[in-house]
Amino acid sequence: MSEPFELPDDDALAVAERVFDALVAEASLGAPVDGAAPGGSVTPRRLYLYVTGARAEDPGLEAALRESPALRASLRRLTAKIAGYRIPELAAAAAGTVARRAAPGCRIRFEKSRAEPAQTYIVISLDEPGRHPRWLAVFVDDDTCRRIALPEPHAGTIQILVEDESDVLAALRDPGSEIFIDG
Amino acid sequence: MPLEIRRAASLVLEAGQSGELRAALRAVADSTTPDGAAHYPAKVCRRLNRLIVCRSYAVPVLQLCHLVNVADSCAPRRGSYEHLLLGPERATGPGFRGWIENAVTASGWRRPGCELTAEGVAARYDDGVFNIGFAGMPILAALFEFLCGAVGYAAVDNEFQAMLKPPVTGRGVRDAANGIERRLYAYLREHLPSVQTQGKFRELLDHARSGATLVVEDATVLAFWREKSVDGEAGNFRLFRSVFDAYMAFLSALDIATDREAVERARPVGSDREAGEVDVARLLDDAETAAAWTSPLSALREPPLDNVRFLNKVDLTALDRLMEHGPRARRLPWSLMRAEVFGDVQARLSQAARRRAAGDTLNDLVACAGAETYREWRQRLAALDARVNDALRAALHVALRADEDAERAPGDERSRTARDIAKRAFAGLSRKGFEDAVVGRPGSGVLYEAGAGALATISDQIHTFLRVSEQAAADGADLDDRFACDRGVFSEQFARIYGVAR
Repeated sequence: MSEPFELPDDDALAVAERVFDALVAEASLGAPVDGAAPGGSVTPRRLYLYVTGARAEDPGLEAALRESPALRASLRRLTAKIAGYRIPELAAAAAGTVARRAAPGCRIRFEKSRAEPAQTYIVISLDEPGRHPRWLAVFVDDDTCRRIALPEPHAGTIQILVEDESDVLAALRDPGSEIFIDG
Repeated sequence: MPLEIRRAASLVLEAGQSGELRAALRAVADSTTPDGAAHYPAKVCRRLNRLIVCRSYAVPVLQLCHLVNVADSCAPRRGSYEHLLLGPERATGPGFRGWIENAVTASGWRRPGCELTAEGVAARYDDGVFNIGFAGMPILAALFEFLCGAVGYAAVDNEFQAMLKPPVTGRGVRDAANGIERRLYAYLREHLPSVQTQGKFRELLDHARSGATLVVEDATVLAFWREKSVDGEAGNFRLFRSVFDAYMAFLSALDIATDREAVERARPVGSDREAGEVDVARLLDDAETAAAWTSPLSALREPPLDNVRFLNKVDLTALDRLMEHGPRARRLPWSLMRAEVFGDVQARLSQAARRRAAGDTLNDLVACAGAETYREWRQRLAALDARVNDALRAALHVALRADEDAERAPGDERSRTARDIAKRAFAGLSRKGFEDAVVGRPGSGVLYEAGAGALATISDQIHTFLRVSEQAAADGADLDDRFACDRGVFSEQFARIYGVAR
């Protein structure tokens, strides 16, 4: 049973009030989360794992990215920070689609498959043949991201076969897109 | 000492804390490695929560800025601090040590100023040296993730980029820390208003004050609830469980604040004593260490013990409140029983009222029809204790079989009997972690011994509380009389709160 005890002095009561405040706030952290903004609960780590391909699928994150321009901007910024190569948007004069993209140390070209007419090779050439980039991410003007995992290079060249209608191919050939490759 | 009062029953006491803040902290806690394991150890997440709710983030933010400089200094490639802080491996001290040592071994330091030490990294600046330990790096990574959720990755990264412009100086690091702190302060002002502003503590205090003394007993708690649960002006004290939890927190807070030595230790160096500056996070940490009570359920719910189903979810939930408050529950035994028995009725009543249930349903609940009696609740607790002990014996069977020397030892008659009992208990359990295959598995000894330890603590706490409640009943009305009396009180109050005629 609790015994009566002496009323603490004002200093102790002031400290007790702050401690009580902290205890109650800690307790409240267990409350259900509602009313949070879309993407508000996405940590940068989740973005990192998404873009680097460490977590191949994340439908929840993709839904949040579709809804939140701020989250897409964060993903683009983070990707720009961690990438080894950057191929910038082409000058405004460029229109339609392009056949190749290039930046110092890295070039991308697109070749129709002879065996599969509805498919195209994305061919990435690196100046440093010993490197094995693991991922490529391409951002279009509303910060929408398309990403692909990269296979091992052969003699400094990486080839990926994709459908002609694929989103990633369209984004890569879009002169307004910005491309990042793992370094 | 029950300092971790985390249950949802306490929610009505929340101090206007926003869903956004909870979401930002929860997202860090829920972060997983690519193979689905928790990225941050539970204690790191608890530490982060405490730093934020106690607003004790100044030093960790400064440490984070230094760590970002360290990461940038051993950069094998661009954006290295993100690689260090966000990498896929589980966040542990050895993991951070490995990353930094590998980076330095592979490419050396990118610029001068940092060096590895036995325990971490020393970062040297124009005006001094700052040491960052590997062991503290996981909490800094968690803080970084929280900051990005709270104030935005771009805002945090802008501060870091300004800081990393050469030459990197001690002043620049402090400026970055100050900039981040200012943003976090503004964020918390909006999302974590102080309970103080709502006067909850003062209300509890005023009610318990009797001249120069404070009286917090079962009658105090019940009287407070009867008065405040229908007072729209008062803080939200509608639920009896919330009032009980509030008074338990109140007693904890008073115990901690009146430990003068602990309070002095928690004053930051150079603090303004007149202004009463105290590091509340440190005060709580010290109190937890000194009190040596943490709910044993926490250990069972966290890795690695959560891989074994020592108790099922229903039993864990049933034990939550008693284990959370631990030995302190003895101070308010009737209140605990009321919170368990009538708190359960009120939870169902609140739910029924929310979904606009039929009048008969509400009337039955207001009348506490079908409420478990105190005697039945105690019997249920005793039955639960029996299940806890079955699990304890089964866990001991695995722990003992893991010790090969002990297994081979002949032992006396009593130890053979004990082993047989443990073996039978093991055979009687068909739950995850109690399959035959776990017996003799490497590492099982330590795991099941820890589980057995937690189960023994649970059983002790149940026994103690059963004894205390028995004594409380012996000192006053017996269990059935007290239940009948309380049922009338709660029924009357429920009718007032929920506007239902009795």
